[in-house]
Amino acid sequence: MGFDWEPVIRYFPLLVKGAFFTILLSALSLVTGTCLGLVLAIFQLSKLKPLKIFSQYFVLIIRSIPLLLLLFLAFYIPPIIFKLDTSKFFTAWIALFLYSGVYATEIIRSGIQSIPKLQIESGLSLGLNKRKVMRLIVLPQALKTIIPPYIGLYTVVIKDSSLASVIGYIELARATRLGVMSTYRSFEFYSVALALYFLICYPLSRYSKKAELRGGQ
Amino acid sequence: MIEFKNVNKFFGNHQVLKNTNLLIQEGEKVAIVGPSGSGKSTMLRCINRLEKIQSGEIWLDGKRIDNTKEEAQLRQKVGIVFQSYNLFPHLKIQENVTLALKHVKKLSKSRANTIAYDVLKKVHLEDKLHAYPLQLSGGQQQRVAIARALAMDPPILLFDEITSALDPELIGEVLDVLRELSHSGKTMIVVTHEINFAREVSDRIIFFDEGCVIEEGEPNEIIDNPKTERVSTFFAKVLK
Amino acid sequence: MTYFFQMGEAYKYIDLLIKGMWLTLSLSALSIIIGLLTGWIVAIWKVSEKKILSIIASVYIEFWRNTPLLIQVFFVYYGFTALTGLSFTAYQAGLLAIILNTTAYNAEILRGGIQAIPKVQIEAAKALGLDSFHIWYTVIIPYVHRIVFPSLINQFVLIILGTSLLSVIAVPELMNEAKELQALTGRTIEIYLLIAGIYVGIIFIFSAIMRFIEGKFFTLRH
Repeated sequence: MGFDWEPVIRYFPLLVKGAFFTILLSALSLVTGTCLGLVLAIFQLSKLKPLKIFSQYFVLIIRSIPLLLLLFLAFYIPPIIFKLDTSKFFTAWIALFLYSGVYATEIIRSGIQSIPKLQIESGLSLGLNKRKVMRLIVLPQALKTIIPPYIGLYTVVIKDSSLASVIGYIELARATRLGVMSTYRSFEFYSVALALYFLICYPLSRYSKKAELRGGQ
Repeated sequence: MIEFKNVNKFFGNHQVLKNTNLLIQEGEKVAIVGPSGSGKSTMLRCINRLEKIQSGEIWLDGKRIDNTKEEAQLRQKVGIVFQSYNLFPHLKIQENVTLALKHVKKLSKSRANTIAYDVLKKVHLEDKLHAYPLQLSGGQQQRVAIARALAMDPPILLFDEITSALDPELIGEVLDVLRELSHSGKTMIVVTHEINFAREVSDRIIFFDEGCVIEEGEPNEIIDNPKTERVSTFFAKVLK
Repeated sequence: MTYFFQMGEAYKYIDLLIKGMWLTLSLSALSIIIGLLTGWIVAIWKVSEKKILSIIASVYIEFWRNTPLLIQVFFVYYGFTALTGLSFTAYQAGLLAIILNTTAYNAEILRGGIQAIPKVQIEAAKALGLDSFHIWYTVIIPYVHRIVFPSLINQFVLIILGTSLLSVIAVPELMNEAKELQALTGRTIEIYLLIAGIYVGIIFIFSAIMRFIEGKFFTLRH
């Protein structure tokens, strides 16, 4: 069958370096995406109709186009329309930022809405103002509901970051591809890549499941 | 003293309160009874502005409250206990009770804890200070909810069907607390299905249906000699 | 904008895009249907009392859910050939990868649905004398579909969007045709925005159809 693991072993440090950049890109995208998600979630929960509608349509549209397309748009729009010269990292980050942001919106919004209305009314009835009710009663409880799916979202972003390889950003997927292109050992390289992604994502998804069960009490 | 003057309230197109007129004296214990969906709870929730009215006036101790902007102030004077989901599950019992004392009345931690202990003692749950709400039974949770409302020392207490969601054997302990409270001199308005309890504890019973006061009077009068057929049918069914 | 939107030239090649769109839709349809069937098989294995089936299912699910679709596509297309000596066309490899991927996600969704069925329902069916096959066929499967339909719709949308990845192995679906068109005409932004609109349109219509189907056939009536 002719397996030759030597090249992939030789390349391994580069793959690990790629994995590191994968995690970095994903973490950055998710953290910034959370800010976007928070803003959009607040818009969706607000009483102002235009904010609500804008946020809902924004989320709907971003979720209806492929991430790959979003990446290409992020790749071509800055230089062509805004005459900006952007790095591949920036391109990858923008696309993942928007993508994770709109998914985060859903998680955050439903987390906040899952708090029974009576809880809020109890807080208000005690004389607390709306802001204090949010801070002391709603958010602490919402956080427990939000964390498990959020960890899931992180694994999604990590997997989706592999698309950044298509525009040439060097993370794990690209490093793997470069290895394949120069050594032709496709099976070996791709299986190692799969294993590396698995090693990163599986613990996270297990933790997310555990957190979900714990939160359900 | 609480007064409703020609109050009308709509939920969308559905009218829930129809020209409601009501007068409750200071220190009175009033029970409000009637069929489900009659607007009893809504009326109660108008008193602490959880619900807003479309027309009419609501007065509290000489001040008009239906159009007030100072809701937080108002709510310090009006304590309320709901049917369920009163307590905050992520906080210990002590923290549940001291939350408003610390953040609304701005009391010190030690002062708040002292008050918390005293009110929990009144409801016989002072040993559950550090437990979490979900570790307590339904009856215990409701008693803590009462204690929490008491902690703010409001002159008016509202109870919105607080035993309706409880298992039968847990209702008694909550009613006992209410019974003891009735000697406190506070104004108490109790929306309830427990007619016998209402008869025993209240100064006046109000029968509410379809958004208006149908009858009101002394407990024994209204239950034994109702003036309208609707009321007598209701009591006959409920007290079978 | 100092760059004029010039669609004119692109219109000559619009039928290329339409061809790509149809391929996207047919790939999606195949993956959705086959993936749902295989998803059921894996889900049933996962909840089976035979430990060996359950373990195989778990391993399968965890593997395909914790690795990126892109690498899965590369693995199936390039790596598999080296392994088995069989050679797939890009279309075959892409379709296979998507099906293998969605099977795992579907299995997880369906498993959740199966475990969410109130035990009394199964007990009632058994008490009526139904055998295992019939319990699955008449009680469990319809019930699960009603519970998890929204999650399945979500997954189907991801499949439609996921077909765009096949452009990296030159399957002539919509995304790929757009890349070709862009290379041909240089009208990069116009073309990509156009297909963004096409994707949004596809998803909107698809979601509306699914919601209609859900309302008609898959809602638990209160």
